[in-house]
Amino acid sequence: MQLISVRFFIWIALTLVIYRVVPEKYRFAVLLCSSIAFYLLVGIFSLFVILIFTLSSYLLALLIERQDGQGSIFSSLEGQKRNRSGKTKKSYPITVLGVFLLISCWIIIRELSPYSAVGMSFYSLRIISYLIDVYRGKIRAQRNLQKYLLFTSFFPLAFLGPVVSYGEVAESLFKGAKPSYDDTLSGAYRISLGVFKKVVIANALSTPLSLIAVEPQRYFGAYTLFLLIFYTVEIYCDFSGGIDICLGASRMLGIDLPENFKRPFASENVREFWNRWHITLGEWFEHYVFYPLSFSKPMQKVSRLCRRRFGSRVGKRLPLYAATLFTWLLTGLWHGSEGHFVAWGLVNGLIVLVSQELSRPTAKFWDKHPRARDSGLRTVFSRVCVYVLIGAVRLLDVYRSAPLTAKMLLSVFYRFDSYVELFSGSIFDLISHETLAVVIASLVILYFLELFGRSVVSPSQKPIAASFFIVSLTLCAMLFGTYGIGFDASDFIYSHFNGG
Amino acid sequence: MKRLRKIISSLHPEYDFTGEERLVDGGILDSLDIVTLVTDINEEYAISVPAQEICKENFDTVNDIAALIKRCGGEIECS
Repeated sequence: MQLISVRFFIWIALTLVIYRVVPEKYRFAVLLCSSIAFYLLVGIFSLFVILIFTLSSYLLALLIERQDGQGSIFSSLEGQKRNRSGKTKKSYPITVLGVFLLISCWIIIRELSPYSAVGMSFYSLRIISYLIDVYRGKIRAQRNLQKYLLFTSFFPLAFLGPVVSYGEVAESLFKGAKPSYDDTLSGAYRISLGVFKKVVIANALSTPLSLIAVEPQRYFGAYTLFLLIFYTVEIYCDFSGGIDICLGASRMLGIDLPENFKRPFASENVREFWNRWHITLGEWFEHYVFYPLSFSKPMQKVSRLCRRRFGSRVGKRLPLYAATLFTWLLTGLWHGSEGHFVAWGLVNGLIVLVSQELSRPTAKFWDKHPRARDSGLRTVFSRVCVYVLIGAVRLLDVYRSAPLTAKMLLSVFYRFDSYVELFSGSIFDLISHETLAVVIASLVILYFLELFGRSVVSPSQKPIAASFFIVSLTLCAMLFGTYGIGFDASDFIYSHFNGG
Repeated sequence: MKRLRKIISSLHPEYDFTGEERLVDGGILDSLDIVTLVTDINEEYAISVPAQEICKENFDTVNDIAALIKRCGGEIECS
């Protein structure tokens, strides 16, 4: 089953009907059965993997909670963890071993298995955060295996996330509250928006951009710039469109999931961008990697040593920057183990750190030019710079080779012959006038839909407008969705990044 | 809270931290700022903020940060 498919939409509709009809106390069972059946339809291997991960982590969490003891990476960060009787916990070895085994299994399955385990990258993060939160005493281990299985297997989260923690979703998952009219209309609006972004915009761009990417010896310079500009659009519409469908499906069931995108192209610096793009993944790595690493005893020792040796200014930064780069390295590896993913992670980490260092001199510069600072031009300039920078790094996804990406980016600045060729009309050999017009018009429509979304707390506040948009967006997807040769409309770019 | 405001202002001199600005939700402080802030707070107030307290709810306003420092045993002067 794919995310954009009649089967998936029928699945949501069927689940929703049964969910609304059954008594409240059985609703979580409906979600559970629906999710298990979903994985069975996706593939028996996927079902097998999620069941194994779920059962082992369920038992591990219960074991962690039973231990009393002392000393761990986590408790050494937090001071001694004591239970109510005043004893310290000894769950460190079990927690660390459990997380290590989980990650090892994930890597083995991803790298060595001939089969794909759908959703594994996302539910692995859910499970790891669950175990760590149980260890920290932030949540109680779930005793009910069926409820825990629902948390790990909830089907809207299978394809693209978002990355959620147990505490964020448990209550609404298990409560079984009847979805309201607002939930149904808002969810439907969200799904139609996601389908529109994916099918009309992302799909239309996919084939021409692929043609440019697979022949770097033919398409360079201006074509690389074209790719930089429109690949960012494609991946945004592809990924956020998929997330819209996931969040919409969940919302129709009355379950609110956290947002993953908040107007990322309104960012005026790179740090802000990564707080607006794939938000839940960034927050996961913040809470479970970056902060624990930054405040670990070994890192505190390094910090003190650096400050003694290099002074306070430099000394404070070195461990912070090491933790940042390591976190970004792991983020890259989560997307994939190939070299270009590692490069992607490290380059983005470096850019974030450079942005950090430049923030104060930049602020001082603008303070000296208040008129320019307060003008709209500065805002536009900043946003364009962020867009271009992020787009340039994204080309690592496209060319899948750091040296080739660097070479193609350089060609933008000196292969002027390519600009002559492109502007003489050769771009229309790759993308037709009609397709380009549809893409540009759709981006304009998207902008106005964004304004609509911001003008209301919920689309159900303007039900006529919302209903009109749902019907229009769906019709547009049916009329203008383009399918290139060998192209699979349901195939999301992002699902290739993490192997499951 | 003069000392605390001075520490926060050193991260972002372009802001005037006298009101009830939402520091995290308002996009003023991010994770790098929070780590730097906690390091400075630990030094200034001779405390050790535990990792489990590092969440955006504890850093969203100046008062939230002051409450965190008090919980960790630091002394906050009245402003």
